[in-house]
This record gives sequence, structure tokens and C-alpha cells, in this order.
Amino acid sequence: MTREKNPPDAFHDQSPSADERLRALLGDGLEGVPVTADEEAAAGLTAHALGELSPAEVAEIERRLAGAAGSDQRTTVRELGVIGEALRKPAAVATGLRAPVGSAAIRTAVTAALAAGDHTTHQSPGAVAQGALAAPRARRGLFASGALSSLPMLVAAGSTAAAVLAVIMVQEQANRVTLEERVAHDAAQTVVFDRRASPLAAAPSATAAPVRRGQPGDTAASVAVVLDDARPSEADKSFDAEFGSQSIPAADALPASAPVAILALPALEVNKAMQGAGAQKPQSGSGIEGQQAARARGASLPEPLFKAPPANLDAALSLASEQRQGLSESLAYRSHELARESALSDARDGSGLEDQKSIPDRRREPQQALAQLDRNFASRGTERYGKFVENAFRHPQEQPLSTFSIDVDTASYALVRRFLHDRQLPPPDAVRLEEMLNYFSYDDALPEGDDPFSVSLETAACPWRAGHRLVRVGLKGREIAAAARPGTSLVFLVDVSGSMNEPNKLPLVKQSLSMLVEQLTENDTVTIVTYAGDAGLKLAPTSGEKKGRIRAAIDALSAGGSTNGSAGIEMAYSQAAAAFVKGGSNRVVLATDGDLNVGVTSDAALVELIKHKASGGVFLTVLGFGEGNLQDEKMEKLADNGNGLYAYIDGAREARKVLVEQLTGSTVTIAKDVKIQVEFNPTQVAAYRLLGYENRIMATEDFRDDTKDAGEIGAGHGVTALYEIVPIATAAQSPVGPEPLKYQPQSPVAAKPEPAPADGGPISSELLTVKLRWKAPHGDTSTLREFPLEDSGATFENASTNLRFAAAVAQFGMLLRGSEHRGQATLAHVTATAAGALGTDPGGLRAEFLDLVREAGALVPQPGGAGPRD
Amino acid sequence: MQSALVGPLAVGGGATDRPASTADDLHAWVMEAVERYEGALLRYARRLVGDLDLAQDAVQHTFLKLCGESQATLEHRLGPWLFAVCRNRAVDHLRRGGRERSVSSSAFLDHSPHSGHEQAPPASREADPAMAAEAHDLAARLHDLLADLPPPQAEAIELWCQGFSYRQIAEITGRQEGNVRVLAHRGLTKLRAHPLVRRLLADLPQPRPPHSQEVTR
Repeated sequence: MTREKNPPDAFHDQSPSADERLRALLGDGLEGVPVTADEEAAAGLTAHALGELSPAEVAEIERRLAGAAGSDQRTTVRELGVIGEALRKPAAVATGLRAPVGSAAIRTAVTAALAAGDHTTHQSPGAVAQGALAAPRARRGLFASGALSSLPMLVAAGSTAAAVLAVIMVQEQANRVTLEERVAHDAAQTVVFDRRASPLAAAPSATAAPVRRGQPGDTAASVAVVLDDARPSEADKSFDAEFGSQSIPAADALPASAPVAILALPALEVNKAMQGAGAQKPQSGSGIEGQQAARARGASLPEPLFKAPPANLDAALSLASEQRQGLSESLAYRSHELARESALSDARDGSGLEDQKSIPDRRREPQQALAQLDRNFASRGTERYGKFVENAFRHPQEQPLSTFSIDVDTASYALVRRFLHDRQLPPPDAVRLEEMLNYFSYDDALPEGDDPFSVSLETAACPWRAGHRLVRVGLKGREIAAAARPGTSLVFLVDVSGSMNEPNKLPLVKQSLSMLVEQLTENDTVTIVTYAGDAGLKLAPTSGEKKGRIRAAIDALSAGGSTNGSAGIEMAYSQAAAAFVKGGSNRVVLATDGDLNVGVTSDAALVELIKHKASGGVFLTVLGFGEGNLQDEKMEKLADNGNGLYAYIDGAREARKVLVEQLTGSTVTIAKDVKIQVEFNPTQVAAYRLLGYENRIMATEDFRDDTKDAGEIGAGHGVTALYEIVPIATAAQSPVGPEPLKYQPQSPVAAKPEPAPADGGPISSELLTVKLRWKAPHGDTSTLREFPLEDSGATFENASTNLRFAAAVAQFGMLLRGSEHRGQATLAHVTATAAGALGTDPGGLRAEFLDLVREAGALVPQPGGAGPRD
Repeated sequence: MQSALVGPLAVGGGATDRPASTADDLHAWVMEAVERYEGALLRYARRLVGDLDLAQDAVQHTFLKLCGESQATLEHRLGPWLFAVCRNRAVDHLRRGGRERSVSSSAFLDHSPHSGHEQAPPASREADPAMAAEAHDLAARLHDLLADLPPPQAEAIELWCQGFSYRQIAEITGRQEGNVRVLAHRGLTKLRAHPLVRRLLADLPQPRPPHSQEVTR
């Protein structure tokens, strides 16, 4: 084989097919290349380097290598030894596959399996049912385990656990389909099951099949029917062979009251809807053939909504992100939907298609109980991302004011970067537009006079929807020269629990803190407190001058033990109080991988504590590290309530950006409780939408309420907010313009009596007015400023690089989220726009953004090779 | 053929004659195995089948199968046994022609029903040398390159990385020990010849004593 003769080629051999993989596993692995005597000998050397030889063999080889002639071979052995040593290091970082992804689920599956086979364990069937449904991987595995074949026996055993397994396996079957089936299947799922509008599944045909709801009276028999209906794959030939047409002989033995069966039915209906309502009896054959056969028999099988892989890259991207959220991501969502549907069907007595429609969309109507379910499943591994709903278009006639708190966090961008570097698309809820926008610095004018920040406003055409306008609001904080930085007291609260013992966690924390310490001066003090296993004060307040001592304390940090520190955060705050610098900046810097078990029991109590301390002048900075366990939402919440900043540190480079380059910003607050209220002129604006800041929306009246907390801005920090605006002039063509009202004039310009401007001047042609309120870092009353904006009518091409780059970032974020508002945004467009708006790009951050867009492009199919890679 | 029925499941209700204490022991034993081997098995399986979800299937199958085994019979060969079962499961998956692509990964990565791209080429990973240098030390690079070796070689090396001896690797893969020796040798030699590894090796500090023993287990 050529790759043997030309070794470097081996490294370009990408992604073998299933057949190739199989051949590789089954053969002798030598790929037909005979082993020569020389190679045999060389292999002996390699074995020696790897320590695989017996002492006798080692001695023999040592003798051979001893002479001068053995010098080259000694080098070989040494290098191979180094390689072997490096290879045996924990592979977690290298492979991008962090260890126990499905751990909890596997445990649940094992428990369920043992319980199913053994009634003497303490597990109650109910608990097993709960566990199995809650554990997506369990569902997967139980199917895969071949347990399908044993289903009839299980059913015969009559255990509730068996019913659970049955349900699980059917669900799994639905997922084990060929690509074409899957595409059709997913489309149906999207419509029937998910009911969120899929970008590609516009046609409602799948819903046309009557869907029967599961009823409490449904018996095992109907489960059995569905079980048969849902068998699509070859894997079941063994099932057929072993059990033939007897199928589920003992189905009647399944307890009619099995709650799990009822729970599962609504989901099974999906399969029925796909198979056509008429297909009540088991179909022979499977997969595509089965579907074709069904079609030939005239069954009302819905056409797949799309047959070929999507031709459009960006549509594919959105679909992928939809699917990831709705279907594929460890199926947690599906089991969640199961529970949800069940909850809903319990709450209703009617059934039928009308009711289907009335089921509230998960995204639009948060009901409390369901919201809880939603939260439970907004996770990835044990990483958690708070779910949020994107801002919708609002109409100035109904809501003239848009109020939000500023946010200078940047964690979301670093998280997105981590996912893309790992060759995964980020979960939509990890993509927060405002944090992506604010990751970059924009060269807005610096503030003049005593104002802590400047405000820049700009309009241009909206690049992703013709006829719409884009407004950029840019705040730029006053910069403070490093020398003029007021004294700072920093308390490092470092998580040293066992989970931090990974290369990109504690070692990176230490590296980051060391970088930060380098910047400190005699005006600063540093304290180090650890929590978890080895809790306590590691460094009493020490002057920033004594770098050696601080560094030594940092170096001495080591991870280990369980997380049970009780003093942690309270000790950090009491140390902060002890080392309080009056008139300076006082901060607790929490460095963790997300395990916030710091001794204060509940989240709420923790937030309350942090809020209280923040009001006392000690702010909180949260630095997130590592992956797999990141409690993203919680950490953001803590930082927000602690008047602080949340940054995700994914590498030394990011540490440098946050802790060195932006040290003053990260440590010196120049204004707090900064709120923005934008008033839209209804004579100019038909609708508007704020991009991002979903977590930061405030009630209108809170703008003036100085007791309401809002975001802080640090020295040199910038804040960018974008509004997409539908001007009155083009509202008629816009899909998001307001519905015409029956009792009100349609166009306020034409028919409304013009409101008399307060100063008696002509009616305003202004688009909007931005109002800002903020407090001095230690102040209690807010200052108000107003900045009106008229639409310049500028095209997008003529807009500033600030606006154009922000627009590119926003489009990228919307594509990653699969946002329904992304309009004509495409990755190619993002690349083109961003490439043309790099500006001076200090730090190369914008160039890196281009790389990320490219990486995202490589993660989705690109038929014809067109796309942003060009 | 569906390889086998899962132990306790296969015997249906018949397992009730197992004493309770044994059941608890079994549970603890399986859990311990999960704790210890899950991550490694997952990585291994993914490399074999090229699909994370199928890999998870295989791993879970392995542990469910373990539920049907007795602690005594597997006492000293638990690791090799788990890997071997997992490998067989992977072979089963692949025998079905990869038709059972899981929803998630194929949705992202398939270009067509026939191309099984596991991952896109690392297009811009090296675009920023500073970052690359930070994020990837020798170990990380080697593991990246490992993925690109011919699968039998990568497999042998990967199993060795898991701490298995040549003999155990032979047991897991069903190959001759001498074969494993050659595969590991071929793979490592290629890794060593790769320009990137050459550069990293050149950057390493002073040569160690000719037969560095820290690599031995």
C-alpha cells in the first residue's frame, strides 16, 4: 500500500468508511505488507522503548546497543521512549473527548438492568422507570445491548421496568435509521413532536396524519402495536428470526396500569404519524424498503419533507443546531418532551389534532412546571447553560421603551471558541450575542470631560434583511493608565477540588493568576483562599510588591480531595473585608470549573451573600475554567449579582487578555448600575428588536429606580448593543411588521394626530433616543444622559468598521443559535463582512473570529464545496 | 448476528434466585468498573466506529454485559475483557454496514449517505501559531496524529496507552502478539517521523540516559 511506502501520506488519510473500519478491525492489521526480518528487529527495539520486553530480552538488546554502532538505535529508542511516555499521559485534553460523557446514564442503565433482572434489589419499579427515562444514554444503551431480543420475555415477566425498557427501545429504534429515513424522520419529528418551525420543514404535511393521544386507558396491546410499527432496522432480523410472528406473545401480561407505557405513548404516536394512521398492523420489511412497501400498499405515508441533504450550508447549520437542541443532543430533550407531553395530556381531557395545536410551544410559553423541566434538560454532559428565549420584535406603538442593563461579560465567545476548536457546534444556549459582541474592542471615541464613558450611535442598512435598519449603540469606558490605577485588594478564591486536576484547569488557573500578579504594585494586596478538600487561607493579605511570596503561594496550590469546603466563600469575603482598600477596588476573584459547592447551601443563598457583599463594596469576578462540568448560567448569575465580570478562560491567551491587557477594566469599575433605555419614535419605527441581552432586560420602571441593580462597566471596557429596526416606510413589506389593526389607523404618520412636541418644535424626525443612567462606583444616585439619533440613511457598505464588524458577529451568533431572526445571514456573508471590517484589530481578535467562522463552516456539510471555506 | 443477550435480561425473571447481597456486590462491582474504564472505553470505541453515539452504545453494551458476568471469572482480566467486548460490539456495528448511524453525529458530519466523515479536516487549527503552541504540547499532538494512523496501528498504540501489555492487546484484538508488536512499531515509527514530532522532539531538553526507564510500567 502506498501509505506504507510514503509515511507522511498516512497522516492525510481521513475518515474511513464503515467497511474500511471493519476491515481494519478484522484483518491481521498488517495491510498486506509483509514483515521483514529487519522490521522484526526494529519492532524489538520499539518494544524495548515501550518497556514491553522481559528483563532477559532487555539485557540482550542493551548489549547490542552498547557499542558505538548502536548510537543511532539508542537515539531511536530514546525518542520512541519519549513519545511513548507522552502518549501515556492522560489523553483527555488531546482527544477532545472528555471522559465520562454519559456516566450518569450508564450507571442508571446498569442499575435498571440489574433491577429488571433481579427483583430482590431495593429499586422500586417506579424509581427504575424514572431513572431510565431521565437517562438518555440508558435508553440508547438498552436498545443497543440487544435487549430488544429479550423484550417479549421481559414483557412476560410483567415488570414495570420491562415496560420502560420497551419504551426506551422503541424510542431507540426510531433513531436507528438510515440517513434518508432519518432526514424524513427528523422532519416529521420537527413538526409533530417538536413543533418549532424548522427552517427546512416549512410544509406541514407531516402533521396531516391524525395523531392519537395516549390515554390513561390505553393498554399494553396498543404499546405492542406501536412497538411493531416502529421496528425499522435490520438489527431486528434477529428479532424476527428468534421470535418470528409471535412478536409480543405476552403483551397482555403487561400491566395495563403501567404508568410508563402511558407516558411513552405520545411519543410513540410520532412513529405512527410517520407510518401513516392506517398502518396499524405490523409491517414486514424495514427501513426504506418498508416505507416504500407501505407506500405501494397505498398507506398514507407522508412524503419526506426533504429528501436530499440540504443544499444550503447555512440552512444546514441552522438545522444542525435545531436538531442538536431538539433531537440529537443525547436525546435528553426527547425524554424531556415525553415527560412534558405526558404532563400536558394529564392536564387535558380532550384529545385530537386541535389539542396538538394548543400545546404551548416550549419556547414561547414558559409555564412554571414545564419551565422547570426545561431547565433540567438544558445541559450538556454536566455542563449547564441557562435556556433563554431570543428577544422578539416589538412595536413602538405598544412598547415605545426598550430597557436593559449593560453587560460586559465575554464568556460566551470563549465558550463558543472552545466548542469550535473541539470541532463541535456549541449548544444554542451557550451562544449569547451580547457576550460575543462585547468580546471585541471597538474604536469608539473616548469619553470627554468627567463622563465615565462615551456613547456612539450609528445607523445603517441591516445586512441580513432587506429594508430593515441596524442601529449600533456603543459605550466606551474611560481608560485609566495602569500607573493611575487605584489600589486594589484581590482575594483569589481558588477551587482546588479533585476535578480541577486537569491541565486546562488548575495549572491554567495558576498561570493566569501569576500573569495577573506580575501587573500588581505596592498599592495592591493579594490574598489567596482555597476551597474544597484542602480548604483554607493559603496566603494572608500580601503586598503586590512581594511577588516572590505570592508566586510561591500560587505554585503551592494543588488539586485533590473531595469538594466539601465549608469556609470557602465566606472566608474569602472576610479576608476581603480585612484587606479592604478604601477608595480603591476590592474584588474576590473566583477561579473554578463550575463546582460551586463553596459551603453556602443553596444557589439563592449564595447569590444573596454575593449581592450583600457587593453592596458593601467587594465585587466578584468569576473566572471559568475547563469543560465538562461548567455551570455557565450559575457563574454568570453570580458575577452579575456581585457587580462583577464573568470570563471563561480557555487558554493562556485568554487569560492574558482578561487579566493582563484588561486588568484595570477587570479590577477597576468606573461606573455601576449602568442602564440603557431606548425610546423609539413610532412615527419612524414600525418594529424593533434588541439583539442579545436576553438575560439583561429590565422593566421600564426599573430604569429610574436607583435601587435596581444593573451592569458595571470597567475602565476601558466597551459595550455594544445592536437593534434591528423595521422603518415605517418598509414595514408593509416586512414579515415582522405589525398586523394591521381594525380599530386604529394603520399608519401613524398618515392618520394619527401628530403629538405636539414638548418644546413646540416640529415633529421629531428622530429614529430613537438612547437614555443612559449610571452611578459612580461608590455612588447611590444615578446620572441621566440622553442621546437622540436620526437615521443617516447610510448603506451597510458605508457604515463604520465598528458597525460592520458587530453586524458580522451578530450574524454568526444568530446562525450558531439557529435563530429565527437570522434572515438572509450566511456564513459566507459573515466572513466577507468581517474580513472587510478588521480595522486595526489589536491583539488579532478579529482575525481569530474569521478562523472560527471557518471552523464552523467545516462542521456542516457543504454540497458542491461552496461555502465560507473558499 | 446480535451478539448475545445481556445477562440478567436474557434470563428474564429467572434471575430472581440470586441472593440479595450478591446483587448488591454485583452492582458495586459493575459501578466500579464503570468508574474506572468508561472514559477509556469511550475513546477507544469512538476511534473504532468513528461516531460518538455508537461508541457510547458500545460502551454501555459492554457494561450491561458485564452485569451478566461473575466477578470471580473476570478477576484478573477485567480490563482486557471489557475492551474485547467493546471491540466486538464495534465490529457488530460496522458489520451492519454503518447503517445505524446515530442521529446526532451523522446529522452534522455526513456529506452524503456514503461518506462517513468523522470530523472535518483541522482546517484552521494551526492558523494561530501562538495558540497552537499553547494548547498543544507533545502529548496532545501525538494523540491528534494517532487518529490519522492506519486504524490497526492506532488501535495497538492506543491500547498500549491504556496500560495494556502487548499480550493483553493481542487478547483484546484477537491478533498474534508478534503482530501487535509490529503494529505498534509501525505506528510509533510513523509518529516519530512526522515533521511536527521531529520538531517537538528537537525542542526537548537534554537527552535522557539511553534507556530511559520511566516509560516502563
